[in-house]
Amino acid sequence: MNADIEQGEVLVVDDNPQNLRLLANMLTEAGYHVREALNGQSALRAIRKRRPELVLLDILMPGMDGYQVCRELQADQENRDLPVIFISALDSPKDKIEGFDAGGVDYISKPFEAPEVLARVRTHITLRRHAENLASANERLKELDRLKSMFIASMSHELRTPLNAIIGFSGALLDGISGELTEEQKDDVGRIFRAGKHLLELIADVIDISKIEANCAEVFAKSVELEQVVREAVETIQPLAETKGLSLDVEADRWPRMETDGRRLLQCLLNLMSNAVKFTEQGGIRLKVVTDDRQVDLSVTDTGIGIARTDIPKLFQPFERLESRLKLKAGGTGLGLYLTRKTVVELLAGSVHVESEPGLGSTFGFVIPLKLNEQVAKR
Amino acid sequence: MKRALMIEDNPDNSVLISKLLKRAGYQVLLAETGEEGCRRAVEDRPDFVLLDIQLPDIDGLEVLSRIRAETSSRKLPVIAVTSYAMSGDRERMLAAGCNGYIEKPIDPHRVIAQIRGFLND
Repeated sequence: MNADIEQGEVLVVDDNPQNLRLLANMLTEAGYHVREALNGQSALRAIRKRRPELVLLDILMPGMDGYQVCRELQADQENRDLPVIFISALDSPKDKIEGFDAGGVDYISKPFEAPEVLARVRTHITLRRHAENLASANERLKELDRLKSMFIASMSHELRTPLNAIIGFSGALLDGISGELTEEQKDDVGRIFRAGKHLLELIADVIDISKIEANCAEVFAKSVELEQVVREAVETIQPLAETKGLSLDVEADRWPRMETDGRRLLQCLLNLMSNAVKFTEQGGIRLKVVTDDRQVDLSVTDTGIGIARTDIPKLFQPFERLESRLKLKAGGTGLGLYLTRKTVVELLAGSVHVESEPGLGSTFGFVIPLKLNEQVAKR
Repeated sequence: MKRALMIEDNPDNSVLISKLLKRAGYQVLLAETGEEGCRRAVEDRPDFVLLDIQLPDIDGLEVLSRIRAETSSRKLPVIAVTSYAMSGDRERMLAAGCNGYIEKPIDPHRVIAQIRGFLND
């Protein structure tokens, strides 16, 4: 190894001063900074005073033996991951296994060969350094990812302000607030209004998703009558279904009172129901509610185009609409299922399910607990 | 003619809502800061208040609590107007004693009906 590279600091522990010298000299010559300890107690003191990168640890020592030293280190939060190599005259498999059980990363038998000791020391120091680099890189990435989501959430929030004017004024113009519009003007202003609304939906979805990803989505668990939530969803979806000549039925074994975030629940339900309407040309939509003593399963079945089995995993990816032809026709944000799954899993402590048969229709549903646990609600 | 006090700093919003309110037969008073809004809520005796939550000086919750702290405006109907439904603003404002809550962007087709609903008008 290149002598310029920081070789690291090794603590050598051996009750035999001659052995200690020998090992220390060998490591010093190889470029390591070496500290020495003649027994278990002083080894632990030395480690706690300043942590080395690796410990070369004899087993048979008066007082505290090497296994004990290693177990002490394992019990110590700060030094649990400090690599310990046993170096011992004990060389039965049983001894070695006990060494590994005590938390050692390697085992060298005495009498030792210098190159073997050096190679093992080097290997374990390198491994430890790689593990530390990976752990810190991982932490940094998680933080960056959180910051990214926070940034998107706040940016999207800002995007809404000008939209207030675009949607509000175009809507008011359509309403004739500044005088009657001609048919052509109505058509043009209507386009502005609808595009504004579409942009608003996109932004709302992006804000919700980024907040969940940044762990700063708020959940308000309150007493909720499921029947009321379902009624609100049906009232919203009914006109859309009627426009397409689709039936809309609800089937429930009973109506439970829940403790959950009613608005999020409604949002998820609306999403599945409006998807069902979008992708169904004839037949109808059925919402089925099955309740047991702990959870409720809400599933929306349509008689629409259906989805091939291989395409199902793609459904929950952002902006993944299976055919661009459908995309044009269906409208929507392309974020709906992605957001719904995130909301169900991460905020409502539930899971989503899909069954589908191409040409026959699909069932999209989710199962959530009747009582959202406090801990989840406070995240 | 009923008088609305609108506490709103964004001119796009205040122009739009004033237009809609005036057409529906309300008189509109405008305050562009929270401080001014608190003052006018007491001095100008409006029939109700439309309160934006994000104001340049003091936030909507503070404005609401000041309005509620004055004897003369303790029972003044206050409708919060805020821009994001999932943020918890809604829950906070209703818990703090708002009579109603309207989301921005306001829906020009529905906003007057929403206001009347909250006022039992």
